[in-house]
Amino acid sequence: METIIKLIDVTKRFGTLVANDKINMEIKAGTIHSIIGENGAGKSTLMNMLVGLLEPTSGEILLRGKRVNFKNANQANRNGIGMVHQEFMLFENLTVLENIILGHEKIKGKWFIDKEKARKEIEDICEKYHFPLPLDALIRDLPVAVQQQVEIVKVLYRGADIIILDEPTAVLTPQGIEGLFEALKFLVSKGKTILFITHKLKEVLAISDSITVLKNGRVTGHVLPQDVDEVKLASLMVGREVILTVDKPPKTIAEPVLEVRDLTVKGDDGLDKVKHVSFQVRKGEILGVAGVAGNGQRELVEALFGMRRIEQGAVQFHNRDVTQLGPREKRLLGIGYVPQDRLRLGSNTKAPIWENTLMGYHLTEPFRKKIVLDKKRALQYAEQVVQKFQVKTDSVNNNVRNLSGGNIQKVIVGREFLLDNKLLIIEDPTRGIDVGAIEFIWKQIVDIAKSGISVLLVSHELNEIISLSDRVMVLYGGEVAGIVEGEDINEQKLGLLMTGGQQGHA
Amino acid sequence: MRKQFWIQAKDEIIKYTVSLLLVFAIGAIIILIQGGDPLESFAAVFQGALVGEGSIAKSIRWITPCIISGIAATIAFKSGVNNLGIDGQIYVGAFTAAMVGYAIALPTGLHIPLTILAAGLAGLLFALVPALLKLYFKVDEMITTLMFNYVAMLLTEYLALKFVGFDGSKSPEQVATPPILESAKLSLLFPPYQATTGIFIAIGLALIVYLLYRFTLKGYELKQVGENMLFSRQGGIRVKRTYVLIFLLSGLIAGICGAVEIMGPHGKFRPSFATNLGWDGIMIALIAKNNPIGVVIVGALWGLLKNGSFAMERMTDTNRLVITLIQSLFVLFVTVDYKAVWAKIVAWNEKRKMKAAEGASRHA
Amino acid sequence: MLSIFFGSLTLAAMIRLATPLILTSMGGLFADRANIFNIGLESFMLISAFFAMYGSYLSESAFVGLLFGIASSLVVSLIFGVLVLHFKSDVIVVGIAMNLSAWGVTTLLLDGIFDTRGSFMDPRIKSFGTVDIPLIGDIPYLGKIISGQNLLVYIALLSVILVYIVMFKTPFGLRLRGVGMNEHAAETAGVNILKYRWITVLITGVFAGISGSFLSIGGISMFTENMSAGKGFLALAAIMIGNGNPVKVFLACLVFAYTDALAISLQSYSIPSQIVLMLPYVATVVVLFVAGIRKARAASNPLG
Repeated sequence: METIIKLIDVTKRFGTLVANDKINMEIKAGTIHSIIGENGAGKSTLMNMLVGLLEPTSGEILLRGKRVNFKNANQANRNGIGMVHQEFMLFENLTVLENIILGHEKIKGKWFIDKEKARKEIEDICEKYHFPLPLDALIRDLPVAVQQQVEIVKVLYRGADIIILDEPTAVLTPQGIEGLFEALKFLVSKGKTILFITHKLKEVLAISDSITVLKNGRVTGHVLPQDVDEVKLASLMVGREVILTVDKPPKTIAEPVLEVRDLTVKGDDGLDKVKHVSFQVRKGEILGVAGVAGNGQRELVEALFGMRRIEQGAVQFHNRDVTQLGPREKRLLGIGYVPQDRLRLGSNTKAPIWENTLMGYHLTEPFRKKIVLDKKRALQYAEQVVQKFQVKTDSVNNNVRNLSGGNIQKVIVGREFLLDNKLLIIEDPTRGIDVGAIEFIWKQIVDIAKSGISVLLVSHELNEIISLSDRVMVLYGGEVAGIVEGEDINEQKLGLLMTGGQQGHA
Repeated sequence: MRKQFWIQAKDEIIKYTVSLLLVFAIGAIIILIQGGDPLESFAAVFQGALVGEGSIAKSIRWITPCIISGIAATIAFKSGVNNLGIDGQIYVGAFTAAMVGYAIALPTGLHIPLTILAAGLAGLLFALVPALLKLYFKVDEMITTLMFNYVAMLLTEYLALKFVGFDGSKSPEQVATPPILESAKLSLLFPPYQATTGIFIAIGLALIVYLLYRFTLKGYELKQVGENMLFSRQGGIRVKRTYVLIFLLSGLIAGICGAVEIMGPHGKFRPSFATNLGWDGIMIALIAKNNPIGVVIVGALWGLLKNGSFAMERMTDTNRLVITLIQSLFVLFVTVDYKAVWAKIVAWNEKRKMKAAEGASRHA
Repeated sequence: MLSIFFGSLTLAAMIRLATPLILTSMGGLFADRANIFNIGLESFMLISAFFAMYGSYLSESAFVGLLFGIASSLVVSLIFGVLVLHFKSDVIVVGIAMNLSAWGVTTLLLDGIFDTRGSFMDPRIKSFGTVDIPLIGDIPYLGKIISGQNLLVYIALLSVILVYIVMFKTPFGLRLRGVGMNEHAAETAGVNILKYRWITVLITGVFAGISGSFLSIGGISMFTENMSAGKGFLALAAIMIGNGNPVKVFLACLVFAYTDALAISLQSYSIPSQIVLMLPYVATVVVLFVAGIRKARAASNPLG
């Protein structure tokens, strides 16, 4: 089998950040090659370079033996490379046919779309590759699995020989995944080459002809599925040098502060994103929530804080039913929130620092009973936050917009921490923060838990989860893959659960 | 801190100054095209606004409604409410004031506050429907309030004609409700000129709003809602309730603006009396960036220009609409980010130079 | 009484009154598809109404007037495009300021050139004539409605068909619809978003130009201050109600125009004119309300 794609020392830098570091890879034509890795391992960046959405900083990409450098998606398309993105590039209110031809319409009479000609061609493709697509149905009426097929046919219609699929199974049911695998095998039998990007171990082992593992922007291994198992793969994928250690005091079992029972929450697309999740957070405990992004963590947090509707189940806080309460009531009860979206949800970039720290604090006594804004106190609080959390600024009157991302994060974290909360829901508190600050914030989290405050820590940094959590709940596919504690909190175990391995669900 | 404030302020000052100069330059050109003398015209404006006999008083007469209308727009825009129906709310407020001012006899101490309140209430109620439509049915409030402007003008015209008993002998514009009672009239500050104590109401309102935003907790919440609704929501602010309240308050103040006009200079309700007062307020709020103190300043400038434009029309051949045009163009120019434009021009120039240099080196 | 509501006079008036709305909204709906909320359509119409009159006056030709109208409207659309697409000014502020500026400019020009306030009439201003369609004109009832309308009316009606074809049968239309639905996806499919936006702005200019021309030289041969009188807003409302679908937008325009036509007919009865004149505006709010209910039921808002 000939090599169809060869990557030689491909590197991509964004400023000082190295997203891909000297990647070498060989992909044989007519095979399914998987690229597996965690979030931030560099998979998407690499693929974007293949499809022309990004250009490599250095290194070479060889396509069928010839050097290529795509400047845009159209160029890549013309050379036979097409990509099915993780987030579908589809038009909801157009038909399947229209979606497929948009941008590559067949013309008749110089001005008009030749739908008949296109239809014939697409029907041929659908027949050849066994995709029974309802060409006149609207995208929004179709189930996700079918939408994905539309994306694949779209790529084939544009003449792709190499099809890249980015996390295709994230949105599929087990049956949908089976269907997809069959389709892929069939495509390969017709001579197509498939690049399969994922973080899911089981799938990779089931479908691949060859596997490349990426970790931190580097290749950690080229393996064949018959030579490895889940454990080995997980270890290649997950984990980095633990630079920081945290002194965690031993915990005694305490009474639950937050009880979640059978929680089901829908995502923006109307499908269940959180499925029958149950867990507890105990007093003074740090419960980590681990999982690859997109497995329901965001929806869970939004539902818990009252910003997303709960379809089923109940949430109890200090034995009080709080399921239907909104953010205001939850805050008044002593639940704080450090959101992941720090610019849109966590702060007001049009306002100065003290107005940002005031949000939430303004609900505390005696603040909220007074008509007049106690500006002195508000400024004081802002100063407290800035000082304690070492925010780099010379005044609390400075606009938040002028702070670095890391400093904005410190303001948000600081504000919520210094409020008199009983439960803190925290999402990715140290994302984008320098190492020194990470250490500091970690210490704050541990200290605050020591003082009896409970923490629900959602993080995509496995290191953070492992270092801080007393117990860890792993979410996979919207369900609880497992809740581990003690010695079980380690990379291997968590990595397996996060990727659907071993103790996962069938 | 001081330094950063001045750096930011410097950019703003440049923007406003450049806009002002450009706009007056355009005005001068238009005057020239029409065969007039720009210097003479602008001098007339200045004289009419500040120097001539009774000019300050006349300016105050115009500054008053400008400020009130500007405040009505400010509180709406500041909290994310796109109330473009201020004109209509002014009309209903004015009509109500004309009715209450005429039909009910009360001592001055009671009559004036009652009239103002009634007018404010009318404006508030008129804003209620668009507010509810937006809240419950997500109907865009810009279009509904715009439509209600026309409804208000026609409705008040109809009610006025009905009340007076229209016999078709005069055109609707010449018909007016009977004059309001003396007890409802605002006192003149500098008789015989039309400046009234309404200016105190205007400044008072501006002051209250300023204090609200600067010193109260509610003011803080209102500002946050306008700047980032999601952030406010997760922070525990009741966003929906705030939205409706602000909408209604904006209508209330607009109604008061109408009242002050009737209880002051006009003394009676005449259909189509207000000619774009609501839009003046909106423009003022936009230029003043929703800052109450800014509204007072810009409103003062606006009133001065309006007064001056009448004088200019009397003394020269220039149509006073030149000033109106300058005002609306000013809004346009102020929204332009001159720094970004300049940067773009510089970058484009650089690119052009680079290409030329490339070409030259190739031929070399 | 029935003849008022359904009489041929009323319906004929409806079609005539709908014409400016139809033309403006046909142009505006292209921009709407590109997610440009143009609240400044009034200014386009008013400026072109004036210049159409002026052109006709100068040349004593309605056709030249039309050219003037379209040209002036294109200039306005250029200004709008530069401000909104390149300077990234707030589209609403620009719209409001342009509406007010247009009023100022046209009134100034009316005074400056013709030394008139209010309205201006002159035998030199030539309007487009009416067209009597043979055969159809002889059909009772329908004939009176359809035949005998001004030339520009027929252009408006034809434009609906034209816009429909462009929107749904050409690659441009398909891609434009895609831009409005999902910009990211459209870009990935190779569509130049900025170019498409500019094209829609210019299309708006052309259509609004014809629309404004109809106002002044579509029969009445005169220009009145603030002639557009909110028609630009009504067109915008029609676009919103019709959700960018030319046929639905057309129907919305007819509804508004119908209430307008009623106003004129009802005036001869003792129903006060103001109440009837209010009808189009109230109708707009009602229709928006109904459209809003349907949208609210269709969508579900997980964030409350």
